Order: sequence, then C-alpha cells, then structure tokens
Amino acid sequence: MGEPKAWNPNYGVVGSGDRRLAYSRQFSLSSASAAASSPRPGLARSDSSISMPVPYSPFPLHAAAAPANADFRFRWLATRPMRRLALLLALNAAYSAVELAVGLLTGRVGLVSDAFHLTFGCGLLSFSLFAMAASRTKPDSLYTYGYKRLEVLAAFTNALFLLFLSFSLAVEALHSFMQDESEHKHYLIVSAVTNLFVNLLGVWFFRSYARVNIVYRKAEDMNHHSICLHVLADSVRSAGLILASWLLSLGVENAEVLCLGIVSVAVFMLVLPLFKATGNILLQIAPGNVAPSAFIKCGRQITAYEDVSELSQGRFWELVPGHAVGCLSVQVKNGGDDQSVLKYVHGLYEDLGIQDLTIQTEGS
Amino acid sequence: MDSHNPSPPHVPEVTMDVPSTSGATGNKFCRGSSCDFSDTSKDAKERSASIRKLLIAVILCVIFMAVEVVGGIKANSLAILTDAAHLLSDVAAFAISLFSLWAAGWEATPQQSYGFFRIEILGALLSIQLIWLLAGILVYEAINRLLTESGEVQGSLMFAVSAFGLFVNIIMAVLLGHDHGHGGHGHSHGHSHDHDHGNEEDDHSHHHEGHEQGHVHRHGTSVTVTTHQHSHSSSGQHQDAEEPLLKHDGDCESSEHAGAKAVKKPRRNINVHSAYLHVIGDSIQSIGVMIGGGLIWYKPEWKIIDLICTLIFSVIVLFTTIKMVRNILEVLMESTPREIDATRLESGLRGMEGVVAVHELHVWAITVGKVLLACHVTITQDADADQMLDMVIGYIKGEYNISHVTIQIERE
Repeated sequence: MGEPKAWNPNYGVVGSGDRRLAYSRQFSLSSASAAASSPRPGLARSDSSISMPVPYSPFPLHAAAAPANADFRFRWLATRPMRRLALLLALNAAYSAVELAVGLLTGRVGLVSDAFHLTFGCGLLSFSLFAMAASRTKPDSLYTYGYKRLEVLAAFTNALFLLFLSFSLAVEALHSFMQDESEHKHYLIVSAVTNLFVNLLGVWFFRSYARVNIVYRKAEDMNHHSICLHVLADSVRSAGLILASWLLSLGVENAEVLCLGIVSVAVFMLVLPLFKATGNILLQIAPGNVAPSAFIKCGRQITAYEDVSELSQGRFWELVPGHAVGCLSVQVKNGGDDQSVLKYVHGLYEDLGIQDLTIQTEGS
Repeated sequence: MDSHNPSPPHVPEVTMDVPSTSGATGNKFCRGSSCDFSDTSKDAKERSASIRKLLIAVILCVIFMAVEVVGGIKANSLAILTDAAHLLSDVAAFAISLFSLWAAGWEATPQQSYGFFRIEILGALLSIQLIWLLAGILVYEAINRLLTESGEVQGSLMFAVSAFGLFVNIIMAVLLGHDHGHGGHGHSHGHSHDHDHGNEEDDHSHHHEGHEQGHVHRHGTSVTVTTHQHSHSSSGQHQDAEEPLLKHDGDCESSEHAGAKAVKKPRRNINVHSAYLHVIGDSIQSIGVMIGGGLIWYKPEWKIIDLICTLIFSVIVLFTTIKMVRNILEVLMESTPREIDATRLESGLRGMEGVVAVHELHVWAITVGKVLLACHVTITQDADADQMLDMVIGYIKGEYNISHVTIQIERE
C-alpha cells in the first residue's frame, strides 16, 4: 500500500496543532504495522547504508533537491519549523547586536552582559538550525547511520546551556543577596521587555512543544522541544527581571533575589526531563518505548524456538527516538536451519518496533 | 627450552573467557561479564591510575584556591577572588573528569547493554563547554574593565594574581600531562585505536608477567589453544608453537614480532586529557591577563589593548579544544572511527570468496578506543555458513583489529 513510512513528519502539511497525533496510541500502532509490511531490512538493500525512509519533506521539489551526499549546500529553509527558527534567530541576532552596540557606546555593563547572554543563545539556536538542515543528509561511509543524531546533540547542548543558565541565575541571586545592591538598572527594563516579546514569539512558533514531559517519537521532536524550552526559559528570565524591578520599585526588599531564585529553580525543573532523555540516547540506553519485560519475553521465545540452542545477551540502543538498533547472537542447534531462525527472530523484534537488527547465527 | 614442543613446562593452555564449549568452532559470542565491554583488569588499572592523578590535582587545586580566597578576603580585592573563582572552575572540571572516570567503570545493565563508557565522552563534552563558558566570561570581564572608566583596576595586582594562577596551572599541567609510565616501550600492539589497552599490554608483555588475560580479552570471543608464553620466549620463536585452533589471532602474531616496531604514542584517557586541556586553557588565559595587567600597570590608558589581548588568547584557547570536540562529536554521532576505512573494509569483505554482497555495514565506537562492527553478509547457496563466519570475523579482527563483531550471514 502507499502508506508512508512512519517517520514522515506531517508537521509542515497538517499544521503544528496536529501534534496531538503524536501522543495517541494509534500513531505508534500504525507505525508498527507500516513497518511490518515493509521489506525486511535484513534481506533488502545492497548499499551499506541504513534503510532510509522516503525523504522527509512533504514538498516534492525539496525531495528532488536533497543532496546525494554530505555536502554543505543544505536547504536551510526547507520546512516550516526551520523557517520559523531562522526568523527567530535573525530577530535574536539583530537584537543582541543592537544591544551590544548601545551598551558599548554608552558604557552600560548591564546591556553588554545581556547581549553576551543573548549571543550564546543565538549560537545555540543556530546549532539547532544547522542540525535540522544537516540531519536530512544521506548516510555515507563515514557516518553510516546518517546525520540524524545531530538533532539529539543539538537538543542536548540546548539542555546543557539551560542548566548552565539556571546555575548562573542562582549565582546571580546569591550575588545580589550578598551585595545587597538596590540600584536596579532602569535601562534593562526596556531590553527585558523586548527580549520577552521576541521569546514569546518563539514560544508561539513552537507552541506544540511547550510541555515539560514529551514522548519523543522522532529525532526532530527532541530538537524542537529543546528550542521551545530555550525560548521559554529566556522569556521566564525576562519576565522575572521585569517582575523584580517592579517589586523593587514598590519597595519590596530582596525582590531581585527572590525573583532570580524562583526563575532559576523554574528553568532547572523545566529542562531536567529533556536533559535526561537526550543524555540517555547519547549514552545508548535501551529503547525507551519498549518495556524491559518485552525484551525478556522475546528472549524466552527465541530460546524456546526449536532450532535454537542458546541466545546471548542482546544489545539494543536508539539512534534517535524511534529508531532502534540491536545486535544479537544466536547459537543454532546442529543441523538447524539458520535462515529460518533469522526470519523468526527478525519477525519477533519487528513486532516490538525494532527493525535495524544484526543477528549472528552460529553452529548450524 | 624448546618452544616447539608443546609439552610441559609450556603446557598448552586452553584459555577461554566463556565457560561453556559447544562444538569445534567454539563460542564466538560474549557473555556479559567476561566481554570486552566489561571493566577488564587493564581498564580498571588504567582508570585507577587516572583517578589517582586527578585526585592529587584536585587536592592541590583546592589548597591553592583556599590560599587565594583567604588572601583575597584579607586584601579585600575582587581580582584575587575572581582568580579564586577560576581555580574553582578548575576544581569543577576535575570533579567532572573524576566522576566520569568512576562512572565509566560501572557494570553494564540490561538497560545499558554496552556499559557506561559513554559517560566519559559526555563528561568530556561538559568539560569543554565549561572551557568555552570561561573564555566567554573572561572576554566579558575584559569588556567590563574597559567600560569602567575609573582607575579601580590595578594593573600590578592583576599581574601578580594571574602570575600566581599561571604558576598553579603549570604545576597541574605537568601533573596531568605526565605520560603513563609504561608508555615508552617499543612493543606496539598494532593499531592505534587500541590506545587505552595498549599501554597495559605493553606492560604485561614487557614485564614478563605471562598473563594471558590481556590478549584473550582483546580477542574477546575466541578460544585460543596456543602456547602463548610470551613471557618466556623472545618474539621470534612463537611462530611455530602457536597453532591457533581458530584463525583469530592474526593480530596477535603480528604483534609478537612487533618488538622493533615504532613506538606507539601513548594516548591519554579522554577525561584526563580534557582536564589537562582545561588547565592549559587556563594557563593561556593567565598569560593573556598577565599581559593585560602589565599593560594597564605600565600605561593605564591602553585599556583597549587589554581587551584585544584577551580576545586573542580566548580564541587560542578555543582552538586547543577543537580536536577534542571533533573526537567527541564523532563518537556521539556513531560515526566510523577515523582509523578505519569503511569502504576499504567493505570491498575487502566483498572480495572474499563465497561472499556475494555486504550490506548494512556499521562501524562505530562506544568510546575512543572501543570499536564495534555490525553488518549483513550474503553468501552463496553452497557455502558453509560457519566457515564463512569464521573467515569474515578473522579478517576483520586481523586487518582492522575490531574485536566486537556481529555478522549476519544470509544466503542469496
């Protein structure tokens, strides 16, 4: 049937509101059935790259233009999220440049430090954009698994940055607690308000990812989620600054400390699940969408199969969320048919959603 | 002693790291705990040596930092306290490296089937990010110095403090950069990506420990019935005595007459190396600040030169980290390690007789030095699957020294 392979994002076509699809069980079931009807990977390709699904972009002209190997003429504005991110990036870059210039010329340190912070953020966002653009590149002999990992890496870096941010906000809160400076810099309010608006725009662009805990179904989920959290954290920080200066003008003591402390804790809590999830993928943890008991059950089924004498420990990891890879070793009884064992084991794991398997059969 | 004679005292040892035998072909797969990926004794030894180094560095750092903090509070100088904060960042980097080293030795669990070696890589990434962050902070401070027009900045103090910081960092660098004591000997066991284990194996064979474990572990999954008594005989005499049951010992043979081979450059553990980079980066920064401080001391009007200087040195520091970042990224992207040419490997496999096609070839590293391979090989209808499997595994181990290999044999 012409059912598209599971990892085709409907994102650009259906609109960002349809992320609800990703959270329903139907989605994963349909992806599993699509996978089961597709040609078995073990006997399929003759090139040494992973079975890449149909090219991502829903727009056919972009599919035709996708480069054959890893050259750097990426389509930077191919999908809607990329365009939005590019816009966000441009806004942020322009704003921080202006802020830096004004700060340097008028000699206001606060503006300069804010501009620095924004520049770091811009750098990260551009890395995310780069990851989005580069991840569509086909695998080659150096990157046999392709470039999709870049998205997870970008998400991880964003999460790291946010952790640093929360830590530095805590330090700032401590600093102002000890220094007890009640001189709050007025000019920072203007910059904070502008910053807040730009970041809120970013949150709106990626509003379907504005949750703390998301089930990641494919690589870009992580990247988009990290971008959303990034702009969200920045807007929370700006809002905190505005609130602090308002409270200070009302005469509330230690308002800055309080607000900064709250913002720091908030950002930390926001980013921790993303950090853990991306870290786990990079650490090659077993696929999260498959319960450990399912693996054990599969193992038992394999050992119970008539031609199999024993099974070694299977090793599974996820390249990106949704793409699991595994290696197994199976000892086949003397005179047993290894090809049927292969088919059987492949079939078992495909039911779990793991298609990329290498099974070593021995001893027949 | 006639080493051709396979009788006592050279009792042929059947050493396997898998307790059960099944058939003449032996066991080619790894049981969890006795596999390459568990913490072998060499790994543990090297790891504890690195941990010891880092612990000493941390203690020294903390002492110096305490000195600076006390001095800074007494002299009521922000500059000294700032430098103490930089030393604190050094401590943080060492702490990250220590944790990574310790965590990488954890036993593999079913959830983390490859063990925790990747934590080393993530820890190193974190360290590098810290370096970048510090460089950014330093540039910011320089701009700050430029903007505060008042003469608060004392060039002499800056100079003195950063000189002290430089001195401390140089001590650390010497401590951390000191190569492994065993590294310099002439025995190289072939291929460069085996660096972490290479040193210990040199150690074993050189110091006549006659310990089998090293080699058997490297060949992970093979049954070797050999008289590998390299502790008692010089390299040349092995050739006849070895009658490996399986042809998995290609690289072992080659390594035995590698006595005269070029010295393999001993590679540091990636975490020690990242801590070392951190310290080097700090020294470079200290030099930059010293120059800036000296300039301000000499001519307080030339503040802009201080900023330029800091910028230049920050860029230099960033350049020192590039190579490590590239290594880290390559591992995290599951890419083929640099030492291995995947196209050549694939064509070599395809050239073997009986092999029709090779697909889904993947080579990737768990951490720098531990390489895995997985591929699907299609063979002709009448070829013997087990024999083909042995040939392929032997070829890969011999040519490329990848010991953890999973091959799926298919018939056309």
